[in-house]
Amino acid sequence: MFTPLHTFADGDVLLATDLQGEVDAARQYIRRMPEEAFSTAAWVDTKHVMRGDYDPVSNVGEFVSGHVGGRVYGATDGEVTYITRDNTLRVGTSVWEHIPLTSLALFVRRPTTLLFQWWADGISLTDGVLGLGYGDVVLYVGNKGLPSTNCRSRVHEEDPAFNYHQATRQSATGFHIANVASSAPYRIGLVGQAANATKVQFASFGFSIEAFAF
Amino acid sequence: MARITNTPLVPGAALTAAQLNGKFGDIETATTTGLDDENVRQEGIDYLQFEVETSSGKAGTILRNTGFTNNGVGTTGTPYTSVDPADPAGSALPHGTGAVLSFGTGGQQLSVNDMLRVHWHTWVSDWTFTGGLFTGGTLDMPCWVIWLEWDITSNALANYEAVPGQTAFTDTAGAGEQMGLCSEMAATMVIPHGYHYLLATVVTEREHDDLQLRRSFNYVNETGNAITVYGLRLVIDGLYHPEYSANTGLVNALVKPAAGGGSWAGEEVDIASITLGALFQRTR
Repeated sequence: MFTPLHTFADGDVLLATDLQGEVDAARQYIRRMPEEAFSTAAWVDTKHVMRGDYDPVSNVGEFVSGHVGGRVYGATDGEVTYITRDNTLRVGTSVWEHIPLTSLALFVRRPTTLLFQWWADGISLTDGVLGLGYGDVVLYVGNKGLPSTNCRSRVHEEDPAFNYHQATRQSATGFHIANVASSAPYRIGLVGQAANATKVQFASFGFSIEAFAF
Repeated sequence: MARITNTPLVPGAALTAAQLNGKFGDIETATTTGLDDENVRQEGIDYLQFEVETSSGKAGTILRNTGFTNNGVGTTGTPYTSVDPADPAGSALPHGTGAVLSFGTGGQQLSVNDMLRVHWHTWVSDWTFTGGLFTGGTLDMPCWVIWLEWDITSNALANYEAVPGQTAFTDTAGAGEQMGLCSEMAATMVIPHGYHYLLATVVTEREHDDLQLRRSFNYVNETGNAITVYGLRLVIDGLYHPEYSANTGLVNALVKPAAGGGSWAGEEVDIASITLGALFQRTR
């Protein structure tokens, strides 16, 4: 609250400096109104809050609470990604590798709660060797070399006897909710590993982020 | 308060100390928790004015609370066996910490107009599949169902019930049958028990390989009263098949066959891992 600097008493000589001082003090206070000046009964409505901005090029919306954005690959831009590519012979079962185009580093400006969602449609064509294999996908958080403890998803190598991919789904999907306090970069994305499958590819995939700061 | 009430000085009258003190005292009165929406213009509040938490975004202005749990990236499944119709239907998915969210002694309040968003993701790793469930000509499609329940009674978590808009699969269809209406599946995940296809003119049935499935549920509290959510959990039951008949009241439903000759009890599905998350948000 504003506290008057001077208390006038009957009989005092009215000095210009006293009067001007009070006016100046009130003006200074009004310029930077502190929180205790406002009513504690609820009065904030949605109309009082700044509207967000949406950038259609980056598909990111920035609002008072944080960012809402995402990206879809494959359908319109032809970008695909993979756990393994043909002829890599990378068929080890113990090495988690980053899946390209799926990693993000978020620089949070204030303590945030994050909802990250992802999906990917997988293809693993039969390679004719090593028996029928698969590729596993898991979300990683922070340590980019290790998967988190979320559910894994699996894409199976196509079985030539059944025309597999036309009969069963090969979608991978997941989500994560995290509290991020630090201002340091927060890394999140997908890691994958293959077992006996020389090619595990995602023809279309996408992710979205919602960041809550309030 | 729309304005600072200020007693005007009267031109020509003698100026008193009380009048002068009152001029500035009125400002003091108005700025003692007196300013409100009438003093703030539209879009006058930006993120700098909001109170924040130190370790999360759950400051309560938009996001009130969250819950998140999972039981790991494991590949070893926990088996669930299909049973004949029973009331209540289904059994809770244990899965360690993966399929239950508890919100503590006091629960989490879902105020009027607040929104509850729940996501879950499961990896179904195996089935024990008995051929012949697909009866060829009728092309029946047995499936499991997982649905979401909440406990809004107490933190004892002994009174779970299906969330709003979700059936508990205890409606009656034909004699001895149970069903859930498709119009009441706001929080149902369907897991196919297998599939069949035409291969070289032969209708062939087989079980799936691993399936990863994801589902979400959204609910806005428009009841006019606050709801306290003490817990959320997932429940599984099977086997059901889709049906539209006089038994279902001529609406789409998932029906569990009666015990006896047509029973589907004894089938099995293995679920390896589950992730369950929830957000409580204000909408106004």
